[in-house]
Amino acid sequence: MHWLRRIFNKEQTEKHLDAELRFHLERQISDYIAAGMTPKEARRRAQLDFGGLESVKQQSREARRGNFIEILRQDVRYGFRVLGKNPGFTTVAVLTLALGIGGTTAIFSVVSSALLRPLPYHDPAQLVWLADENTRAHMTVVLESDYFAYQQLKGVFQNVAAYEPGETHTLTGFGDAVRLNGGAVTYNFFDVLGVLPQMGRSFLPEEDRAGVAHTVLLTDACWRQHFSSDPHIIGRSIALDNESYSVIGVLPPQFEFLDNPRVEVIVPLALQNREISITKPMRLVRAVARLRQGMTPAAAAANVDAANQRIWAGYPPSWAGMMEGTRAQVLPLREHLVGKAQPALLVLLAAVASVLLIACLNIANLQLARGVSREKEIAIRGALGAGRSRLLRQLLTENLIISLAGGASGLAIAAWLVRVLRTSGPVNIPHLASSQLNLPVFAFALFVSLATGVLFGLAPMLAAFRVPIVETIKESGTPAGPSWKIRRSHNLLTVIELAAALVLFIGAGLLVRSFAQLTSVPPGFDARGVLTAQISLPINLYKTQEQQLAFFRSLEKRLVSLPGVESVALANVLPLQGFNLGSWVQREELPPAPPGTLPTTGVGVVTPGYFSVLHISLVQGRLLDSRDGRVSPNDLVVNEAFIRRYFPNENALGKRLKVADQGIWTIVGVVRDSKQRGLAVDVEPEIFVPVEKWCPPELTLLLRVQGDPITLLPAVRAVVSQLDKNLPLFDVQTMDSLLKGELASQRFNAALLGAFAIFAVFLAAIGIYGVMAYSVHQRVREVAIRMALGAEPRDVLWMILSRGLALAAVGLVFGLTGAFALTRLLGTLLYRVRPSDPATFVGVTLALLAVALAACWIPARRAMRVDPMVALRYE
Amino acid sequence: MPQEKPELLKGTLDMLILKIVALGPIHGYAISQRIQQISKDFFQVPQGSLYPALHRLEDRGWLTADWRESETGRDAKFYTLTRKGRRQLETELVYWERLSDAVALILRTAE
Repeated sequence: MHWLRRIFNKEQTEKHLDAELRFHLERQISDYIAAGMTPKEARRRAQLDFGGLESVKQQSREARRGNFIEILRQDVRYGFRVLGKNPGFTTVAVLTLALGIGGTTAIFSVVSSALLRPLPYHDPAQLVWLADENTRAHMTVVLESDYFAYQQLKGVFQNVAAYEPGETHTLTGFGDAVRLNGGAVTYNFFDVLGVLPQMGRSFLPEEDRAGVAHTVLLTDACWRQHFSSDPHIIGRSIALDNESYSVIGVLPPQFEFLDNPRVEVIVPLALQNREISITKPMRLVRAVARLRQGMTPAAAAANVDAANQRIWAGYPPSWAGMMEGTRAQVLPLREHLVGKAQPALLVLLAAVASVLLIACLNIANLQLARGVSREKEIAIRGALGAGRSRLLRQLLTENLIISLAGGASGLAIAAWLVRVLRTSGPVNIPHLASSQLNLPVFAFALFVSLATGVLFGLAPMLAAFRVPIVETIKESGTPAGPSWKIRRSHNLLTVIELAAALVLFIGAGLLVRSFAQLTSVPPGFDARGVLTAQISLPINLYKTQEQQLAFFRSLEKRLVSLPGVESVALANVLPLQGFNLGSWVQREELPPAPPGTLPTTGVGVVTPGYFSVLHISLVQGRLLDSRDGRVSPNDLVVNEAFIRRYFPNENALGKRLKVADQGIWTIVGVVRDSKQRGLAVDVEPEIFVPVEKWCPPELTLLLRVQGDPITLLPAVRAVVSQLDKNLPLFDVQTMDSLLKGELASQRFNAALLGAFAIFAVFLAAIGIYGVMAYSVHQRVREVAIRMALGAEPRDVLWMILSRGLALAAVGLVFGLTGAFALTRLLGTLLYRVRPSDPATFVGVTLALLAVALAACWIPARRAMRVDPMVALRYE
Repeated sequence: MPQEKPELLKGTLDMLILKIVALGPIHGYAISQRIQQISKDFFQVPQGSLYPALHRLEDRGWLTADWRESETGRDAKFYTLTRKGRRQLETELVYWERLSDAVALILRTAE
């Protein structure tokens, strides 16, 4: 291939081309001289005949096909040189693209896998989440006994299973002890979901009972990570919380536990179909069911409601009263799993889309500004023989270099961000742990920014072509035609950019304020240094309340004497977790109300230490103390919200109450309100009764400890096993981590949107700076003339600033309008902040105005320093 | 100011060059002189556009070039018609004759 040879023999080819053309010119000159011209005239004529030597050379080079590669090489080299000469432009452009593409790709990857990916279960359309929603008690759960009743609804459900996520287990015996996220399920859970283990089997009915040998299922991830994919794991015993569990199966890789995809080990739930009684605790579980063919969720809910009336009629009156007003909730499983996270995900998606929009606008703006400042360069290169197509190709190459650099960095950022989100995003985003970088989305983001770059990179060039080259060179920078149009598109882009940035900034501001509100809510208790764990006494061994009470009393006594323990309590409540016991309460003197008309009050069954462990202070009267034994009068402690509801402007001490069918109780003390149901939930009336009156077999242990609470765990376990070596501690958590968990998703939303907003504002600042710098550059002559005619630098400064501010003002007005319309979408994500919070709107607008002002200030100062003599002479 | 002459019809420059080179090896300047002689009264060929055309024809393999001593003793680049070039010239001539016949026919019938 001779053209291939030519590429590698470039120097030779160039020399030959030069020699050939020179030979022509010299022959022409000598012919003219021979015809009688003077040498000087002959040379002039010959050159005129021939045209530009460089231009002919270039056209000859381009006539050869092999030159395509050569031209590309030149373009790329020249492109790098041009970009290297403008490090500011290049950095900003690449960074803008990288963050725009990276952010969009990462967030969209997460959102699309959360919202669009099918659930990893068999025929998920038939799966529903089943619960009874009690709005008065803020509980959406299924009672243990109801769960067994629902299994009989054969006309509605093919099968119903119960599950609970959220326990933590400690795995020992495989290197260092590790904490594993646990879930508990009824034996038929995997039948309902239609999931088969990849190895081994799932639970048998006889394994799903209390007091039998422990069995456990592992998720694929857990098996790989903690048991190095041991192919002989089935049948082996592993130690969880110092108890021996036999591994019976490993779940398939795509399986995800419901509500908490991070669950790694699954054990039987061991529910008991026991008779319901006010004095016995009732386990509250979550339920998932497979609908019978042809059954809709709404019809199923109506069926469950009807069944509930029958079931609850058989319950003791106080239970029945508590369930009054409870409605069955039957939701498609997808809606249950995704629904809660959906608003936050959609907001993130909108935010990230506007970031991409702003990034593209910024690229457009930068390209316009740069294109105009390069008009002269382009004109000179055109005059030197570069064809239009060649010039276009050159510019295209430059844009491609920027886009590829931005795209590559964007891909790196996206991969990093997806990894960060996967490990530290809030648990309530479905499929988060398994979300992958979405390459089609990346390709889309890359394409959009590429198209923007190319479109706006070439537009000024195409405009420049319409102006005669000579004019452009002569006028050096004040061509009236294309520049006016470009300035107008400049302004438009900047206004949109500012408006979008303001909307994003306000949205982020609202979320940050909401987060601040939530963190500044006094929880009413002191979470630092508190360790909590659950203890459940097997009823077959601890038959009577006396036996149970005796165990808890001696446990408390031994724990209090442990070194490092300040105080100990046992309770059936834990702050932020809500009450699992409720009852109606009435002032003694009032006539009995019809059942079901009284609201449910949360009942905390506590030992006296509950308030001192959590530092919940006493407002009035006294706390429960050991005098409140089983034979002492029915004393109880209420919170401030209770007083506000039932005894406003009255001294409540000594007042008597009817509590369900448990007789008459006397208020002996009032404690400060504490957030028992969740940080964002308002405190409601609550009563606290001594554990001696109402001892359930399952209680939460609370210890106030000096130093890190978790370090005391082994000692606590030792004490428990001294008393009963078969008794496990479960749900071990520190109060601090519970509190952090409450804030996690709010923190996540605020941080992510905040980061996007800062980026957007940064881009908008660059945008407005670019426009102003360009405008100052264009108006140097005007400024010089004004100054020569006596304008003060102050006037010049104001002239430039006022234009920038006018632009900013228009952008901000549009932005505010947009924000008013759009922040309503944030509604459910905000805590104690209205979507149109005036403080946020005003504050953020002023902040953005200040940024815009600063961005205008630098070019305005430059204009002020124009030396009229220099500027005009230069013209 | 000389009177404006029409530009050479597109594509005809290639044919013209091939026709001239067909008479024997010749360098660029001589080709341009020949074209000027032939076309003096009819059309204008900017000398600049000759060389891109020569390089294009060489690139397509219709012409080959080598450096030889010219009539003034200086080395010049001489172009020669290849076999492929001769075939190309023939097809172009046939095409050209058909075209001019057609145009003539149209002009006659339009009278």
